[in-house]
Amino acid sequence: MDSHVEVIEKHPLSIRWVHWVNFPLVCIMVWSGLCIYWADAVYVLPRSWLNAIGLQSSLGKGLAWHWAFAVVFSINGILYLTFLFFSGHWRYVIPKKSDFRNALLVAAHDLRLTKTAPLIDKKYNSAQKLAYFSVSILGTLLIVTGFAIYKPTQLSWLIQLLGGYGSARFIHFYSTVAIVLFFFVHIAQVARAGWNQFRAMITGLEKVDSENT
Amino acid sequence: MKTPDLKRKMLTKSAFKKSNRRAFLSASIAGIGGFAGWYLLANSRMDRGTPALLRKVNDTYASFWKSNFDVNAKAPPADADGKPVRINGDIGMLKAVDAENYRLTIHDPQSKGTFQLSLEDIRKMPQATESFEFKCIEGWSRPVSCKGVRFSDFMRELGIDPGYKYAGMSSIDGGYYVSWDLESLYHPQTLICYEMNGSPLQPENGAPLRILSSVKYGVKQIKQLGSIAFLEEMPNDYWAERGYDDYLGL
Repeated sequence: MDSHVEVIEKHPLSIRWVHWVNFPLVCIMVWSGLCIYWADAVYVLPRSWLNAIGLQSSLGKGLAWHWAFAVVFSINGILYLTFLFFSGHWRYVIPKKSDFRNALLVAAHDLRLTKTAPLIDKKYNSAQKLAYFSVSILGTLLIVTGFAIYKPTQLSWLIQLLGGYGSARFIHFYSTVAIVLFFFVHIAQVARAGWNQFRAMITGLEKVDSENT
Repeated sequence: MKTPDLKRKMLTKSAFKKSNRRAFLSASIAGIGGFAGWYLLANSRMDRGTPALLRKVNDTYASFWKSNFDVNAKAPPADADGKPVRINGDIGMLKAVDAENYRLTIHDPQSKGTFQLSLEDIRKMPQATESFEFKCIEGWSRPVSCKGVRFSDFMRELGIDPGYKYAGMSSIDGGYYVSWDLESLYHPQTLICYEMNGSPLQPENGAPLRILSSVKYGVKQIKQLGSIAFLEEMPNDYWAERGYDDYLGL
């Protein structure tokens, strides 16, 4: 079997595409969102931090990019959910009751508090399932609250559903904070998981039992 | 239903390598393409302070919202919170305006031509009160209640043909000017106001007359209203000339 390798068909082509398209879209949305936030920095992030990275006085620019790409981000998000559904891979990210407890064990392991390796259920471990599931919910929340803030009078029913304009804005901001935190943990975890896992997100194929990739 | 396992298969090493190469090649092309797209967009010709292409995209969205504008969609009423009115700008504003000699200039090129109205003329028009959250483009919002004449009533009183597409409004001093589409002006929560939060409008809040509306950001709700010109073409707008969107509809 030396000339052969066993591979797992891990990520469908469609999902790989929307995943990688999503990456620059999220960067554009977060960057332009911060340009907008600067103009009325009322939440946890102080304006001085934004000044330090050169985002001051760019409200007009921020709005232009944020609005233009919100639609692209939304379409990509809808495509993701569609592909997730039709590929059947949604089954791998819906958490079960036991995943909530097991996710803590995974976290403990990854923080080197325990030695037990996390149990991978088919595709993902419990923490991954929770993370990928929550990030889909957060993305949906961002889109819904975003459109509500964008057209609060035309979509006044939506604003009222979300508890008002201020509340929609609050949810929009803190969902972004959560997405950004996810992003950093995600990058760290990808670095830990290694080349074989990272490559699988590009090629779709994960090599089985590979000592050296 | 039991979740199926991920599919496994055996590949020859060369087939595996080939498949990987192809995937990385498409990824690189997509990456370079995406970066080039972003670069071209960010560095495209500027149109009034915004990349022209971005402006075009947002104009397309604006025409979607304009053609689907629901004149009956109203912002929910918001009770005044007793806090003083937040004053955010004084561009194109005078320190004080003499209400006695104040005149609002109307340009109606299609029929009535140019004429002037006094504060008393406006006050005699049907009075309306509305309350909603005033929304600033910076992000904050404040409950506001306003008293004045609905723009739609104002048009009817003057007998101006609603066939115009746009209105350009200027402050008395002329240093601030905004563009409005007629659909938004006909919304029941768009008013020419002389009272705000239960008291007569103060000079810094736009006395003697200002626009208050739930369908545009505050930057469009011009203070110290000096003239209204009805037009076929979109007029200049102070903030649109400085990189902001023309429509800014809510």
